[in-house]
Amino acid sequence: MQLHQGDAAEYILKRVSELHEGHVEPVDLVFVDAFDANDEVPASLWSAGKALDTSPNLREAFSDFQA
Amino acid sequence: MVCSLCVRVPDSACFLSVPSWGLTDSTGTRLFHCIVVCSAAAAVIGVIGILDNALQPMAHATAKFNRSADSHLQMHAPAMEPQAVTHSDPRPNHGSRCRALCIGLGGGSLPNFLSHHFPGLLVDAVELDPLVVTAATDYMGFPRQRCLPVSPLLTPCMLHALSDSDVHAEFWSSMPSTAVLYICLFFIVLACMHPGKGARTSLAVKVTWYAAQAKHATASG
Repeated sequence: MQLHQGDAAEYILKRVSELHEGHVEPVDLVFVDAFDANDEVPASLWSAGKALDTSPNLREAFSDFQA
Repeated sequence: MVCSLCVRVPDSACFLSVPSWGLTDSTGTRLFHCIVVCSAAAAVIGVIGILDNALQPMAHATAKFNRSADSHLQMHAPAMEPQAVTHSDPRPNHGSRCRALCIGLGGGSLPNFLSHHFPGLLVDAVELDPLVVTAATDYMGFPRQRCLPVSPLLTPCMLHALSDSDVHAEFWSSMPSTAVLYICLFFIVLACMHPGKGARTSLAVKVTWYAAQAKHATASG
C-alpha cells in the first residue's frame, strides 16, 4: 500500500503520462471518494478534458451519476 | 485461472461501476479498467470480488463504506493467496498484479480493507489534505508510512513525515549532501521569516538535527 499526498487530478495525469511511456500499468479499480464543499466529485477530476475524462463513455457515465 | 476484479453493488444510484474493457483514450491506451464513485450518502454497501475466466465469482469481500464514520467497515471475506489477484488473458498485462487507486483517503478504511482482503492487490491512495492523512494515521489506525508527494516540491505531508524520526535515517542518507544543505537552509530561513511559529521553528531545528545525524552516520559508516 502506498500513500501519495497531493492533488489527485495531478497524480492521475502524471500516471497517464507514465502509462504512455510504458513505465506503469493501468489501474484496475479507481475508487473516487473525494467530494467538494457541495458534496460533489470535484470537477477537476471528472469534467471534460480533466483527469478522469478518458473516454466519451466514462464522461457520459459521470454525467449520469452527477444528475 | 483468475480473471479480474469486479465491483457489484445493490444500488447503482449509490455506486457507479463502469465495465472495464472499453475505457481507452484517444491513442487507444487503456487507462483504467473500472471506476467506482462512492456515494455522498451516509452509508453504502458494496461487494468487491474476483471473477474467474468464466465470470464466476471466486472470492468476494463485502464492504460498508461510510463517509461520516469511516471506521464502520464490515469484513466478510477470508484472506486470499497473494497470487490470486493477477491479470490473465485477454488482457495484455497478463500475469501482473492488479492495482487499485483510492482517490480520497478518509480514515483509510477502504485502502486497509482492500489490502487486508486482497493481499495481492497493489493499492495506491491519494489524499490532498495533510490533516486528513494525520487524522487517519494518528487516530484511525491507518498504518504510518512514508507519504510520497505527488508534485516534486516538499509538501506539508512530507514535512510531517520528516518530523518522524523513524523515517529520517533512510530519507537523509539516500539524499546528496548538497540537497541536504539546501533543505536545511530552507527550513532555517523559513523559521527566521516566521519567528512566532514555534512549531515551525521546532521542525526546522529537528530536521537540521536529524539530517546532520544521518549524514554523519553515513560518513562514518
